[in-house]
Amino acid sequence: MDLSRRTLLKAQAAAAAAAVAGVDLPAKAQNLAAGEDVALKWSKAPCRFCGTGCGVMVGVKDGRVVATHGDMQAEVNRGLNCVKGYFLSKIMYGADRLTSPLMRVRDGKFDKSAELQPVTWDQAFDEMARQWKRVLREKGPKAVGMFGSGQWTIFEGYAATKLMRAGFRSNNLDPNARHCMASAAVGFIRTFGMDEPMGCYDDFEHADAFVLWGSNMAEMHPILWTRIIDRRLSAPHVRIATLSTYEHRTTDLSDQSLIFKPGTDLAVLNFVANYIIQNGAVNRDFVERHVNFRMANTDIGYGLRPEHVLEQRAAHANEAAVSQQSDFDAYSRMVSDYTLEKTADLTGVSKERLLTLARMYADPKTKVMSLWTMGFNQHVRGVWANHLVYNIHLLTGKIAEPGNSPFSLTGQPSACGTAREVGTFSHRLPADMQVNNPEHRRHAEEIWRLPPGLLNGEIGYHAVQQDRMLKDGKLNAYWIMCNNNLQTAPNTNNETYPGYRNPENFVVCSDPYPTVTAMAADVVLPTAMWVEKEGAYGNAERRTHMWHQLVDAPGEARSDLWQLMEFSKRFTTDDAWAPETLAAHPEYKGKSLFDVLWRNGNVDRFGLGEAATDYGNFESRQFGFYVQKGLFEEYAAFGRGHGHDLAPFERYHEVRGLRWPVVEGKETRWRYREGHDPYVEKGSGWQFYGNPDKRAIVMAAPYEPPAESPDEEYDLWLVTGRVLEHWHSGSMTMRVPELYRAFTGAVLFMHPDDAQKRGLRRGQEVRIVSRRGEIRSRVETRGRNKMPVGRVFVPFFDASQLINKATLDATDPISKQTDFKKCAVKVVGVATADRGAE
Amino acid sequence: MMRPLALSALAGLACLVTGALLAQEAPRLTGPDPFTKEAPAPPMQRQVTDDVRRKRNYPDQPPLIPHAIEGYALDLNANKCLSCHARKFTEQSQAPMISVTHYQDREGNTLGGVSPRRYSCLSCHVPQTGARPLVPNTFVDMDALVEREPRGR
Amino acid sequence: MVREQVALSRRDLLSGRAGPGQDEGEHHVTGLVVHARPERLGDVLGVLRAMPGLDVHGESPTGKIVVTLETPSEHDVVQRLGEIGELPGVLSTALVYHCFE
Repeated sequence: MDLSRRTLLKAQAAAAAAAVAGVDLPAKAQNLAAGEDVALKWSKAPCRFCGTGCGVMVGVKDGRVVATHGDMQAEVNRGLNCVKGYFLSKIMYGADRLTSPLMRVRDGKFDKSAELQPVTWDQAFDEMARQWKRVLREKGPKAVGMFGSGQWTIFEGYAATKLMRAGFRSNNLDPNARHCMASAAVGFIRTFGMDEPMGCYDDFEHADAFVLWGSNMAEMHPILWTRIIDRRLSAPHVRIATLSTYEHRTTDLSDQSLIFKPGTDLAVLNFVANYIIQNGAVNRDFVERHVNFRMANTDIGYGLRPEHVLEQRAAHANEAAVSQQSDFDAYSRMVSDYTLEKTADLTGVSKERLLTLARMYADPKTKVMSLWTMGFNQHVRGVWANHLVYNIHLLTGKIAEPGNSPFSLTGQPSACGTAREVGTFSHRLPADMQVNNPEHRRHAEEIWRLPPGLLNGEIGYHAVQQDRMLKDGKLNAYWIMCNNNLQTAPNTNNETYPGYRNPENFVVCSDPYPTVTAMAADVVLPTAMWVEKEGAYGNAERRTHMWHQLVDAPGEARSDLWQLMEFSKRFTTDDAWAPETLAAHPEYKGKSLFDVLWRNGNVDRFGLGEAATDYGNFESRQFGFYVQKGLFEEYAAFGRGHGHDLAPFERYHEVRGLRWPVVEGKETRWRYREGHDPYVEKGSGWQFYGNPDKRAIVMAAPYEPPAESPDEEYDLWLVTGRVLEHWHSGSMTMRVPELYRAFTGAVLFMHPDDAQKRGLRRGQEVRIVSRRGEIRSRVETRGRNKMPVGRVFVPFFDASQLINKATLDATDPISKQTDFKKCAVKVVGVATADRGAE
Repeated sequence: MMRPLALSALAGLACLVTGALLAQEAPRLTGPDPFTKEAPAPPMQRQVTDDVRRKRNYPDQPPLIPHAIEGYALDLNANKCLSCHARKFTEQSQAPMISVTHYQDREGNTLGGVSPRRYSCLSCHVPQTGARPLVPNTFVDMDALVEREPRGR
Repeated sequence: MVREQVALSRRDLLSGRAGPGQDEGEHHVTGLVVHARPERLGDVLGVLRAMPGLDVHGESPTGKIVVTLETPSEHDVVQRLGEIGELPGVLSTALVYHCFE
C-alpha cells in the first residue's frame, strides 16, 4: 500500500474513533487538507462527446484528471453537462487501455493468421510502410485507404487529408461522419453552395416554435434540449412539435407528437409545403428575390451493390444527384399531390396534427426552428429530406434570422470542424472544395506547395464502398483511426468483417481501447485521447474551440496526429508519386514525405517558443516545431476571405470558441443575412453567396419508399440508434462504471402486444433476425422508448449485441450515407430462454 | 479477545490489470469470439433501489439515483422528481434537496424557483443496476492524491 | 500458528521502507478508542506513544484516547488489542474502524 493511501486510511480511522469517543481532534489530524494540497489546475476544453460542443473545465492534479464540470463561461452550455459529460474524468482510465502497439506476428514476422502480440512502434511502422509500398507499387493509390473520424481533432483531419491526397495521391479517405452527416452536408451544398448551418444556438432563445424532425434531443443533444425546455417553460406561447417513428423522452416533453410510418417524413414535409402554397403563406417577395427552383431526378435506387435487383430496376441509379431547372409553378404542381387526406393516410399521422404542424410554419408571425439529425440523415432519401425542410423555410422566408432557423444538428464533436470543414471525405478538399474540380485542385496544390497536377481528381471510395472494396480485394492497405467501424458499419457480417479479414488486405486500427475493430485488425496502435493531446473541434453551430494537452498519454500511446506525421517519415516521393511528376519536377525527387508535407516552410514555421509553457505538447516537442499552430494556419488559408474565415490560432486558446466566419475579430451568428454576415452586401437582405447567383435552391422531390420494408416473414421495422448514457459504440462509456450501470447492455424495445403475439415476455432472450444476420438480445416492453406495434428499436453501443449484423447497407444514393433506421427483421424467442428478468 | 469488526469502508481499491483483456472476458466491449458467432444475451439487470447515497467521484458529479423511478412522470404536465426534491417539499419528503445550482439561470442569477433549464432531471442523474463493471476503472479520487500526513521536518 | 509480531516503526512507514512481511501485501489500519482511568491518563498516553505502529491522535479529560494502529495481519490486530487492554490504567479498548488491503 502506498504512503498516501495509508495516511488517508489512518486519518479516516482516527476520525471514526474520535467521533465515537466524543473527542475533538486537533485540526491537523482531521480530514481537512488545505493550501497547496487541495489546489487543482483547471483548464478549459470542449466535451469529448456530441456535436453540441459543451465547454467543460477539467481539473488536473498530479498528472491525472480528477474532476470536470460544465464551464459557466461557455456560451453553449453555461455550466451544464449531460451525464456523459459529467463522467469525462473517467473515460481515459479504463484498465484495459492500450499502451503498446500490437501486431499479428508468428516467428518474428507479420502473419495475418497469428495472434496479436506487443511490438515496438518501429516494428509496427516498418511493417505498415512495407505493406503500403507494396500495395502502391502493385496496384497504385486506388488500393490504399483510410477511414477517419468526426472525432479527430482539426489538426488530425488536416494532417490525414494531406497525407492521403498529397502524400499517397489517394482520395480513398472517408470519415465515420459519412454514417452521420453526409446527407446534411450534401443537402447544404446543393441548396446553398456552402456547408453548415446559417443560424446558431442563439436561435433557441428566440424561436416561438420548435419542430424536431426525427430527432430525440432529450437523449442525444441533452444540453440543447435544456435550452429548448428553458424557452418553452419561460414563454407560455412557445410550442414543441416532435416527429418520430416511436415515442421517446423527447416526445414525452413535446406539446405535439407526430408518430409516422418509417420513411413517410418526406410526405409530411411536402404536405407542409403544399399547405403553405395553398393557404397563401408563401413569402412572394423573398422567393422572387432569393430562390431558384429545381426538380430532382426520381427513382434513384438505394446505393446497394450495382448488381442488386433494386439498383437494376431504378431508373436513375446512376444519375441520382442530377436535377433539372424548374420553376415555382412546376414545384407547386408536384407538391399539390400531398393533400391532407393522402398524407394522413400514407403517414399514419392524424389530420389534426398535420394541420397544427403546417400552421406553425405558415403563420408569418411564428418564428420556427426546425431541428434534425439522424432521422433525416441516416435515410435512403436523406438528401431529399434535408432539401424538403429547407424548401419550407425558403418558401416562407423563415431563414437566417434569430429564431427562424432550419438547423441541422451534428452528431459528432467535430464532424463539422474536422470532417466537413477540413474535407476528409472521399470527394472533398478543405473549405468546401471538391477533388474533381481542377481549379480547386490547383488552389490546394498552391497552398500545399506541390507540383501542379499532382492531386488526384478521381473521387475515392466512400465508407460503405470501402467495405465492399475491402471484401472484393480491391482495397488492400487500410488504416482505421478514431472509430469502431466493425461495430458501426451496416451489414457488417457480410461486408465489413470479410473485408477486414480478407487475406489480401492489411488493416491497421488506431484506438485507445481494444474495441471490436481493433480485435479484428492486423496492427493495433495505442492512441492518445482527448486532453492527452492539444486539440481543436468544431461543433454544430460552427464554433471552433481548442484545448491544451493537460495530461500525458499512458505507456506508449500516441496521438493520431503523431502517428500520421511519424508514418510519413518512412516514405519518399519516389515511393508514392508518379514517375512522370518527378521527372517534370526533379526538385521533389527523393524527398521525404515528412519534409514535403510538414517541413514545407509553412507547417513548420512556428517554433516551440510560441507554444504555452505551462502545458505539455508531445507532438511539437517530438518534431521540433509548433505543429498544431502550423497545421491550423496553413489550413486556415483555404477559407479566409472565402466565407470560411477562422481567427488567428492563439485566439482560440484564449476564448471559449468562435463561430466562423470570424471577420476582423468578430464571429458571425447568422450567415447570409444582412447586418449579421459581413459577406452580405448592404441593401440585399439575404445573399446565399455560396451559389454564383446568390440564390438558394428549392428542390422538388417526392416520397419514395425505403429499401426494405417488413413483409410476411420479416415482419417488423428495425430502428437503431443511441441512448443517453452511451456514446456511439460504447468504447469509452461502457468502461465508466456509473455509465455502464446506468444502461447495462442493449435491449430490444418492443410493444407489449408484439411481444405477446410472439409468445415473449419482458426480459426474455430473443433472436433478432434479418436476411443478413442475427443477434441475441432481451425484450424490453417498458422503459424510455415506447414502440408502436410493428416497430422495434435496438441501440448499437453494446459489442455483444452487434445489431449491425442485421442492418442493410442501403444508402442515400446521393450522399452515400447509410440508412440505419429502416430495415426488416423478425424476432423469435431463444429455445432455452431464461424466465423473465432477474 | 476481541473479534474485529469488518468495517472496511474502502475495500474497493481498483485492482490494476496489466495488459489488454482478452476478447472472451468482455464481449460487451470486444465483441463475440469469433466475431461471426452470436453471443448469448445475459439477463437484464435489476436496478439498485436501496436508497443508499453513493460517494461522488468528485464534488461536481451529479448524484446517482438510488431509488426506483419506473413510471415517474417527466413531461410538460408533471415532474415527479421535483415533487420530493424541490426545496419546498424536502421537509415532508426528507429527500435530498436539489443543489442550489438548480435555481440559477444561464447567467448565474438565482431565481425564485427551480430554473426551467434544469427540468430534464434524467439528462444528468441516472439510476444504477447491480452489474459488475466490465473492466476496472483506474480513475483516482482526488482525496487519495492530497497528502494528509504533515511532512516531517 | 502464531505469527511473529512485526515491529514497524513510524520511521519505517514514513521512509517507505517495508518491514519483513510487509511486501506480502496485507496492511491493516484500525481505529481504536482506548478508555483509561482519568487519573492514569498521562501514564497510559506515555506507554501508548512508545508502542510501534501506534499513533495517538487525541484524548479527552474523561480518559478517552483516540488511537490508530497499523499491523501486517488481522491476527496482529487482535494481539495488540489484547496487549493494550492489559496495560495498567486501561479500563477498556473498543475497535471502531478496521480496513485492510
